[in-house]
Amino acid sequence: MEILAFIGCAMLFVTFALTVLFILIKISSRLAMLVLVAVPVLAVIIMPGTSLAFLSYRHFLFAGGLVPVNNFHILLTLWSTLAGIILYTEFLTWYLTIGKRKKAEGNVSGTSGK
Amino acid sequence: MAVRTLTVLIFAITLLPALVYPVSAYDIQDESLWIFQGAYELAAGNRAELEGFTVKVHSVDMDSAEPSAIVLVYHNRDFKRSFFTDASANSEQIYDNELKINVLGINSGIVSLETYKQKSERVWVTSVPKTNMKVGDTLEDGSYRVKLKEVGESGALVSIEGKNGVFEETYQSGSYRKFAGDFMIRVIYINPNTRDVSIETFRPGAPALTVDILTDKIVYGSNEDISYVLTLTNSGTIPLHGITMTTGSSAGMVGEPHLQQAVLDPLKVKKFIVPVRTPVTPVTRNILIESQVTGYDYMGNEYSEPASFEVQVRPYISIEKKVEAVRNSPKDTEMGTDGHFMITLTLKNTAGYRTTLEVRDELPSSMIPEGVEGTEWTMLLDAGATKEISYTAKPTEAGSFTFKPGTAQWKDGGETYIVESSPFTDAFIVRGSKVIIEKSIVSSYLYTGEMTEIVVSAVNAGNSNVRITLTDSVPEGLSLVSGQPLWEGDIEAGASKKISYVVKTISAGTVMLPAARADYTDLEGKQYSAVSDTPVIYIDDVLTTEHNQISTDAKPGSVNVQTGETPDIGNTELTRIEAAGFLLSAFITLFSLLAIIPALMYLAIRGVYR
Repeated sequence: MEILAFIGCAMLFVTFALTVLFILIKISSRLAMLVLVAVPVLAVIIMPGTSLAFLSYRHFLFAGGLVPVNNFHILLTLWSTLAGIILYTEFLTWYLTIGKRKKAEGNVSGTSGK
Repeated sequence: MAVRTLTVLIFAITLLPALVYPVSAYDIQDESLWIFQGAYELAAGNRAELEGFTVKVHSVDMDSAEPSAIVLVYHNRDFKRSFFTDASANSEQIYDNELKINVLGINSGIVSLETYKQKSERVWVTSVPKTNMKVGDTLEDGSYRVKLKEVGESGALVSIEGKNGVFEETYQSGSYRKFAGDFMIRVIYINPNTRDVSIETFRPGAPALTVDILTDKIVYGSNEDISYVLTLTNSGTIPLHGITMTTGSSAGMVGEPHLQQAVLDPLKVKKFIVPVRTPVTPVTRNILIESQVTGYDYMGNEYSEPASFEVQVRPYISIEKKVEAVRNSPKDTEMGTDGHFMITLTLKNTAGYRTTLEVRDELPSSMIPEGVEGTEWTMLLDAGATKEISYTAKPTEAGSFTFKPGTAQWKDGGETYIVESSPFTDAFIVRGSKVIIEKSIVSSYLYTGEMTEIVVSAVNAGNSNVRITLTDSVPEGLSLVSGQPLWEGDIEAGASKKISYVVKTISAGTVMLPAARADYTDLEGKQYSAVSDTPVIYIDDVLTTEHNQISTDAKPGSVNVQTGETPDIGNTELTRIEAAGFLLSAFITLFSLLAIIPALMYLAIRGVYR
């Protein structure tokens, strides 16, 4: 039963992560960030019992029972990973865009100077 | 008349041995030979003990060009003669045609010599026993083939076909011939009427050496003498000479590493006791004692047989524990809780030096030591000394008890060693009354308003029936719904009684249930009491919203049943807004942490391009 519960939870998290990545690539990074935060929060507001039971489900106990791993910890890991991807995607896009623009501006001023 | 008869009888008796030829006939099996007595390596002053003779090297002269030695010969401990020997011209010396000394070499003051004795010794053993043959019959003995060709008045013509070809010869009754030192044929009797010939053959015999080792036990203490008995058996057909036994040990000390025996006749057994002393060891170890026995036949052929034996050596510190059950009254047939145990620890140090010991003895938890402050002692044990520690232990309750071994710990060469006494296999049974109370809850995690069942069981683990009063109480925070936390009655030995009642939770919190108590009286009227553990019930408030959903989905008990896991209990106190706020704050924290570096880089790049 424990392994089945873990597989079920993993499938849910993978589906969630793929959805966010799909939105990031195909639609918008801002929408992906919104979905990333909104889905768990709304789930907790709409179905607090089910959601909290899901998030507090404990999969493992590491370090001789000292470190429990619940679904909430997995959600935090997923959040940090996907938020990092989205943030750095945004930042690199901006950086590359500004670099391209400056290069283009340099070319234009050089041509007009001749 | 009588005198005449007696004279004839005496004459006949005197004549009889002369007529019985086999007695002298079998002397043909003996050979007068220089029988090899052994090879020795002797320094000046050393001696070799032979059968009747002693050969002693008096002095060795290594200064001259040819090393030489003066060898003395004793016969029955009396000095007879001295010989000047060296390894060349004077190497062979013979005393009185009885003893021959052959010096092989003189090196580094050591004289290597072989000894021989002139002796008539049985060498030939029957190979094919007496066989009646007719003309044309053939008899085979190994590689030799004997054929009776003709029988006439001159005797029997026999051809012997062997390694050296065919040899034909006419034999008379009683005549014999030896071939190449390894085959002998003898014609015992020729019957002139039937022309039958009785023939037997002989071959040189050989000794067969077997060595057996026996010790009186296989486990010894440190510094203890081992009774090491070496048994030599010559199961061959001729004697074995010049036997030397060399004994060595992987540890320990062999008292007589080299022993000698001049001769071992066939089918004879000789026992030797070799003194071996075990080493002083702080840990149990095995030592291997090895012996090598070497002997020679009359030709000087070597027969060697190894033998070994392994014994275990215990540490030099030993501890023995003896437990004796002492009944309160000699009339008692069984040990009761009013009796006591007399415990004796015997410590022994077999090493040659004193040792400081820390001795510990662990008692069963329900026993109290009497007459001593504790069951740990520090003591100094002199070399070879034995000390005893005696104390009594009082059982406080009935049951079956097995005593643990006592231990002694000490230091040797910076290392700490520990020995234990032999474990006890038998259990001591103490008769008496003993009731065990157990209190349990069907469900320990509850929401307010839920009910659970509390079970109290009393087990009579003693040996007699008891009358028991079982009492329990319901603490604050719980209310009794059904059942009674009280019971009174008799419980037979080995039986149990279980009562249960249902309580309902009133308010949230952690409730420690009070211990259930049993007061009981045995058949003799002695009164005892026992109490149970104090289990805990965790009571939580349900969430203020979505009560039904939480109670079916987030209820710890239901999750527990399905998955075997317990969710964190604290979550159930959160409202949905608090939970959502916690999630949001967690996300914002993560986001802020992740955004620090891109934000700083953004500001820096903006500054550069501006």
